[in-house]
Amino acid sequence: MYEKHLMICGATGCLSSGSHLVEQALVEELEKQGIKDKFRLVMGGCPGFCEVGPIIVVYPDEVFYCRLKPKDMAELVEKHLVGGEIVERLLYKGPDVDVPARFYDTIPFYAKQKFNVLRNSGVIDPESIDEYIMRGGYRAFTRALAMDPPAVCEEVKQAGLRGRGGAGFSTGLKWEFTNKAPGSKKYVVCNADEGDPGAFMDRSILEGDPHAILEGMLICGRAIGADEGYIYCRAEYPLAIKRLRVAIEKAQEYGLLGENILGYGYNFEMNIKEGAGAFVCGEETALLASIEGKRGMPRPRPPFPAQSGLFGKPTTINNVETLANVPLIMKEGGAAEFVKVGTEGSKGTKVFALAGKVRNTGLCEVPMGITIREIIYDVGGGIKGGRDFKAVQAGGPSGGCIPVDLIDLPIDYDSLNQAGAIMGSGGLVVMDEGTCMVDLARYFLSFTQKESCGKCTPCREGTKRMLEILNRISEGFGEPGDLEVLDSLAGSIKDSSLCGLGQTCPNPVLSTIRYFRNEYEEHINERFCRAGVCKELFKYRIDEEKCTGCTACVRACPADAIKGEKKEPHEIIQELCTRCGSCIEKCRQDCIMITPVGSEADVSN
Amino acid sequence: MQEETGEKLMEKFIDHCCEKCTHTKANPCRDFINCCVEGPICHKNEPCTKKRKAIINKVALNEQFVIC
Amino acid sequence: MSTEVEAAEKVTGEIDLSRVDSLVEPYIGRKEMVIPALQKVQDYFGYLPRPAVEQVSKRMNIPLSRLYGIATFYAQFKMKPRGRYIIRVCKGTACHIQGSPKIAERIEDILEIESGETTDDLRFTLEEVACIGACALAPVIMINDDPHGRLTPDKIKDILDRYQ
Repeated sequence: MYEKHLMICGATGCLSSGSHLVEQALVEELEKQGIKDKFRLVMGGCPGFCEVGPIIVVYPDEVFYCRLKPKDMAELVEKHLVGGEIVERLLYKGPDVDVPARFYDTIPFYAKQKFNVLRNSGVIDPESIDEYIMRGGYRAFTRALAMDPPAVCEEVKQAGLRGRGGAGFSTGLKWEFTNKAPGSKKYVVCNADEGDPGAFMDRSILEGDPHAILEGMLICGRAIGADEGYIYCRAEYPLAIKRLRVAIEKAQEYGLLGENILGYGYNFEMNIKEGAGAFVCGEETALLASIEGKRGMPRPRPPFPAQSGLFGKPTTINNVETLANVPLIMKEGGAAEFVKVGTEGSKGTKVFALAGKVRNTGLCEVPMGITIREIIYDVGGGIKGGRDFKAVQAGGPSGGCIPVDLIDLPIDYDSLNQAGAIMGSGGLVVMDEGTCMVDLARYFLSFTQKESCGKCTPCREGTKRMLEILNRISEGFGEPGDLEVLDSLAGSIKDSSLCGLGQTCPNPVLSTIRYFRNEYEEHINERFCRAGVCKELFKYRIDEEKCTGCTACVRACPADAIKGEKKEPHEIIQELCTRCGSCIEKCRQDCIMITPVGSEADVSN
Repeated sequence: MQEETGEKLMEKFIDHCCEKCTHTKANPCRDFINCCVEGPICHKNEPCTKKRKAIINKVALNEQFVIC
Repeated sequence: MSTEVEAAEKVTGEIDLSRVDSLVEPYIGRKEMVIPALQKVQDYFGYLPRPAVEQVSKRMNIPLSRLYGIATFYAQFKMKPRGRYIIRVCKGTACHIQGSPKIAERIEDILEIESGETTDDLRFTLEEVACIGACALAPVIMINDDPHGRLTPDKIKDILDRYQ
């Protein structure tokens, strides 16, 4: 019997800020005091608040410690674990709280969140099936086993669950199609090939609550009449794969996978397939080709996978977050609970990876219908460094940007579509005035251009041509008429590509032109990038009036391009400057300015 | 003999509280999952209830974690 | 381990094909398992040496052209030996807008290689990765399994010096 459980976040965000070192120090300290056996340490799932990592949550005391360092562990052990007194200095502090916040309920980052999918993440040991069962796990599956399969499809349909991976198709309807498709061999496939740059919610679910995915797949399998499942997971997620393997092993031991599950005569076998690094495999038909051992290229639909999917058999493909919602809906009274949250057309919650220039970065799960303003200012705590919010990119390379004018837009499938973005998998990257929208469009397009599988000419060649134009614009060779060509190419690619990648990849370009046309025009006509990103289109200049001669920038410059004596105004030698921006980050006087290339400093030379 | 084995604690939910519980992979019980959190379901006796309560406390540490 | 293999290979110019046999053994007769088979081979050698791919082709009875079709399609498969330390520069959106291109440029300058290349002494390979999911610490790079976050170009030199 343990006195306390300590949940140490072991997800990538916290690992990057050193949670493994914190854990090591904690273990050493406990061993030194000879009390290690009294405490259960779990390197577990992610509580979401990456910004303040490493995080340790102590149960049953309900204390949330953050921004931990290895050297803090002695005090934490001595004062809290032995003495029973909370170490106030390690609690959450920030401009948004008056007194240090002790637990989730008083930390503003969590105030507007609603934990459905992330209900177990950071709360249970992901490698313990017992803890999952204790949290109500596999009860929904037990209930589904006792039901008629079409009734299971119907219940999911009635709950209004829509696919969380992209287009937002009704999950229950998808299941119904596969259920009705003729054939005795059918498959369930979990799409865990989360490839959107800037999105990591699926990984968090897989790492923090792998049994929820297995349970979701088992329920789906029962509903559609499948006896085999595949989880197609990115190879870049080794921890998720390991946790899934442990979960499968445990579920087999408990008789929740295998033959005659729980005595209902239902059989189910689970396989894991590791992806090999191809973004297009997030597209369902490409994913199926990859599982079959082929190049991951999409094929025309129909036939839809529900008719002819994996190895030619009827198949349902659901994404991780969608499946994690399923046990919640299928538990006793779950559907009625589920529909209470969200909007008319978008039920439930959505997990977002909140990143970019926002103060509180991390994962958040919010009710559908919440506004962008609430996410950025309430959950996200506003923009870093007190700068101005410019836009947010929703839906990654398939999505679009939403500008400050639409800050009160509710986040649901239909509102986002109307604004030219998509829900996508749920990456939200916040941008301030230091982000160049032309560069952003170029960035996404260079990604999709590289990831285009090459099958459809419009996508293969069209993205290349679009990228060439964007490259030209950001290098200062933009021409009048470029925007019209971009627009027409985008239209052709969207209309004539076979799969989701091609059909959506022009979105970032279209939406940035739609909302930030002036920025494009400034690049083309005035050869100026006011965000200071496109290197050929601006230069740094030191404001001599403001410069105090502190030499911080001189020391930071890796190219030795800044000269100046102490307490004398410094000067940038333009010929040597690589525009890396190291100086601007170090300058405390805010005296380094972004100016057009042809401005006075040049003239005076 | 029976009293002695009755003292053996459950380590995991898959362990049996007494010989009346028969759930295994090969011989599955429909009530297995419900039994883990509410059990024993198929029989009533004090030692089994105690044992099952003990393992829940061990796993959960805190009863508010248990979601039924 | 893979460095020893590479070193041995450099000396003898040969690849231990019996290793390949045992690696692909479980997949023989299961053509849908060709990707896992290639993954195993790459795990062992650190990349896909041509003789090894030829051996896989023989053992699994799959045309070499098809194997190369698959291997060149997926970004994970590498055709050239790689360095002891793999630097992965995160190109995720959050990293991009917080300066990952400048980080990549600085690394390229110091090591005098471009993304996708390996230094002549097989010390570093520089790669790009779509997102490592540490967006809170953007910009981030991984060197083998170590993440380095909240980077600025001036920090790069010291970090690289730690990997000899």
